[in-house]
Amino acid sequence: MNCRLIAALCLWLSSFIPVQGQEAFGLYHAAQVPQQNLLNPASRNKAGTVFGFPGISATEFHYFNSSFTLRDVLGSVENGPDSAMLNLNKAVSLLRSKNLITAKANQQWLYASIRKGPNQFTFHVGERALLRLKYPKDLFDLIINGNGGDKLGSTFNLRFSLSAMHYREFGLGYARQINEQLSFGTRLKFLKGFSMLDASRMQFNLNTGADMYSWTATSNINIRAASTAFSATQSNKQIQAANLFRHSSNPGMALDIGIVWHEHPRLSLSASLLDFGFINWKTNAVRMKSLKPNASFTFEGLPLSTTEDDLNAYLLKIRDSINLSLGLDTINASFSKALAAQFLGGIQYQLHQRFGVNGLIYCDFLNQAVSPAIHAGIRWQPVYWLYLMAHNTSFNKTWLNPGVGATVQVGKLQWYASTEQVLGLLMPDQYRNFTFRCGMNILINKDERSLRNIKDPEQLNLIEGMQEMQQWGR
Amino acid sequence: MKDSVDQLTSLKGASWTGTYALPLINAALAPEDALKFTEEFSSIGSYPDGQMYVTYEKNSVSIKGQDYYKPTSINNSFTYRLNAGEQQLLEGGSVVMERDQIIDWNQSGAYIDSIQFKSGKLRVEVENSIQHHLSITILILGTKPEGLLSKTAEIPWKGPGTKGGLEINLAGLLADLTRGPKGNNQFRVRIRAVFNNTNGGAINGNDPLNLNIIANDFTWTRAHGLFGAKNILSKTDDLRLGLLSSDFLSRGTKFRDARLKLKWQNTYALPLQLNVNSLGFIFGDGSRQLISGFAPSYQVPGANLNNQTLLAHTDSIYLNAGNSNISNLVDAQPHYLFWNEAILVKSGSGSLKQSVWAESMCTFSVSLELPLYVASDEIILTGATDIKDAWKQELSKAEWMNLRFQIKNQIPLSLQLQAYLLDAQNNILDSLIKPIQELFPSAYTDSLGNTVQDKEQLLDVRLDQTELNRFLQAKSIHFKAVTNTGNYLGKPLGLSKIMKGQQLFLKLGIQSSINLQRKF
Repeated sequence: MNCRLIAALCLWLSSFIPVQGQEAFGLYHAAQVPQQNLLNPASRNKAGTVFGFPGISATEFHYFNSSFTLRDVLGSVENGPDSAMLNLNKAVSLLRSKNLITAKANQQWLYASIRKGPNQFTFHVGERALLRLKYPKDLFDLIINGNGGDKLGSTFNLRFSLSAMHYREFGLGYARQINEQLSFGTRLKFLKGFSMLDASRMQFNLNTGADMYSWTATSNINIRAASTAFSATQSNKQIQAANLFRHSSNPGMALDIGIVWHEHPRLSLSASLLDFGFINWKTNAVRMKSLKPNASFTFEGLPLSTTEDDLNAYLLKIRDSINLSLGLDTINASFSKALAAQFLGGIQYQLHQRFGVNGLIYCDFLNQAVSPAIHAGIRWQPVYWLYLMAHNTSFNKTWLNPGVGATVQVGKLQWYASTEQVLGLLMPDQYRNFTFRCGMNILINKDERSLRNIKDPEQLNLIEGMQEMQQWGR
Repeated sequence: MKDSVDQLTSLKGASWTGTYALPLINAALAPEDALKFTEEFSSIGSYPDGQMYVTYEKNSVSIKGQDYYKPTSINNSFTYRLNAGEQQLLEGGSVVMERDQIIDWNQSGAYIDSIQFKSGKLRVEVENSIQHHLSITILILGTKPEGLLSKTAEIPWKGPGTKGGLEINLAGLLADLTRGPKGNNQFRVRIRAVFNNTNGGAINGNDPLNLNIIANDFTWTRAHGLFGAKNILSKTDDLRLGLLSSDFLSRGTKFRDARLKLKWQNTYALPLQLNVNSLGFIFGDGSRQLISGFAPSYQVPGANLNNQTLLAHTDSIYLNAGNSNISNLVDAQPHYLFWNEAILVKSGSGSLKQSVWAESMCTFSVSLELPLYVASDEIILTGATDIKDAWKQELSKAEWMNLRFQIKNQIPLSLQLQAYLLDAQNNILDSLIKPIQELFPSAYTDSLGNTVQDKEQLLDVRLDQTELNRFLQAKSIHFKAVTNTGNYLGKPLGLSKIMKGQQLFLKLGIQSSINLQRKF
């Protein structure tokens, strides 16, 4: 018992290591939720056949801000005699030298899962959108605190990284229980891209000379973008919002694979690799790249012109110089962009028939950057229709992100919800991140009569295990 | 959460304080750049040794050749009849009646040997009473090019006084006017009338053939001959010398070694005579002093004709301290330069034939050169301007401001500037530059005012809250600038020689701490 407790404690404490990344971690070990299969294609639903409630089978939203909460910003408010003003100097001091904002939204339109013997087939249609923006404090420092004073002679490093993507996926999954210990699963996803912006390199430096305050700017920019939102037939490229969700000619493919290994009746190990694929962006695809990467332009002041024409001529000359040094080369050409591939590795241990602990490590790979996360949780099933989860996740360099989850089953209907930061949901002004997901499923083919009369979860799990063994022939 | 929302909704705006630095001016100013700000001077130049000068100049232009020689239109009538032999030939079927006719050219007092037309037409009006079909050809003899010589018209018989006519285009035609008995001002026309007896009409020696030869509305490009004497320019003129008559320069500033240049250019291929009378200065008190050192009359040779091009004859006389009193007179700071000039075309003799082109003219210019070799003590410039409310509004946001001047001066001139803030009663509230010092110090010079080394300076003019507040209280700002010349052994020399290529390199940067506010 002590060993179990120590193991559980280690798992819990390990989640406080500050790392980056985010995903619907709480669902990974939620065996009662069929959408667990989307995080590991090898996992199998408990019910024989499952249909996600059309339109709301799974909804997920995630937001993270690495630097400040709303309460932090409001701490910079100064109350004057007749009005409250936000002190931007204080607000800027809240920023770190490098700052991150991420947002993710997933919406599943359709979901179906059919299990027959050791085989399971799944199908889903979902919409996915993600945004990851890294921005420097120097930008706001420059605008708000200025380039003078003690900043003379130093360089403002304005390095941005922006990745935004919106696409639709159609997934066909297959899972098979190979033997009593091993399950394997895979999913092939056909993708339709709608919009993407990939500014993996967007660097702009500004130095103000200490002597005569001259400005020296350098830039190195590489941006790729594509969107169906622009009307391809219109020369003026007006935005057509309706096209954000249709008329995609940006095909893509992705593969998910997963494995579950039952080392022991109480101990299982699992791993999955998700979104290993790409989208070929064609619609209004454009690439903007610095004509002369890291070339510099220095402005030392205006000449004393005798006429307005002379001044205009000089300003044109400056504009040409800026274009030459800092200008962008724009190419209209299709390109491929890899998805942010994700790796998840999990472990779960059943301490008691009603009670288990689990751990998870996570990494995603986007723009040659690795964003890890560590998650640890406990689960408890007090009665057969209720399943509760509690966990902590460390991601994006935040340590304490307590989360909860619950699954409620009433007849054939199942409703589930979870969050990786419950406090962020309750007090969004005091937390820098929050996640939320929920969904509703219709479960079919379960021997409801026999299960409904069994109140003891320990007995229920035993029966479910026997049923599974019968289904794949043991 | 509710507190946060309440606080958020009560926000009225944002405020911040930033310290911003801006490079405002980066200029390399040459003396000629500064002089461009004024339209006072006709030109800015330099002597071979590099010393610069400014010029006051005024030109006079004579009448052009086309106005000097203006031939008027031609209108000559002639009558021809068949002689007995011609009548006999006509009875046999046809006859050629050929007559040479001398046409008088209206000489306008000149004796022209040849003229080349730029445009115009020679029109021949025919009235035939010889009762037969007429084919008439007009040839202008002695012309180039030959292809333009003749024109033929067919005039069928329609009854007594049958009318017809023809036109010859004179454009480009070079006409020889020496074909007549006078030897000039005449050209010869050959009339060839062919009559064909095809209608059986009567043949009568009294029947006339009347011709009216007309030429008008023509222009010419060149004429050659004797043109006689004529005055082509007579003018009294003056030139205001703003720099010398200005108030601030009158306080002890002298331009050393002033020079006067009289220049003429003749594109008439005629010898001219230039008479310059009464060349002198008018001073502030109205008194006049004549300039010495030049002859009242100059013979100006005509332009040379070289390969169908007239090479202008250009000449000038140069008055300076060595040959004239010009320098001394300029030292006395005259306000005006005045003169009277006349240009006369000299009369040609019988053997001296001359050419005039339509565009020929003679220009005469008077230019006063003031070398930028300036001797002065202190020149004080003053000015004032009201402080606008918009300026105050912008300045009220500033906590402090620093103006940084970086100077590298190659010009032996200095500028000391002070700005005084005045209240509504013109009381001085404050001065902006403390302590007062040279904003642009002069380049180092030798004892003669020659630049020997650049002068470099970095100057900060800092305006703290106190100065800025006084600026907000002030009504107007009064500028006082003191310029000096030369920098010899660390002191103003009172003498400077400004050379071509000397520049003032000026950089101005501004740094200011500003309180900003934006309402939502």
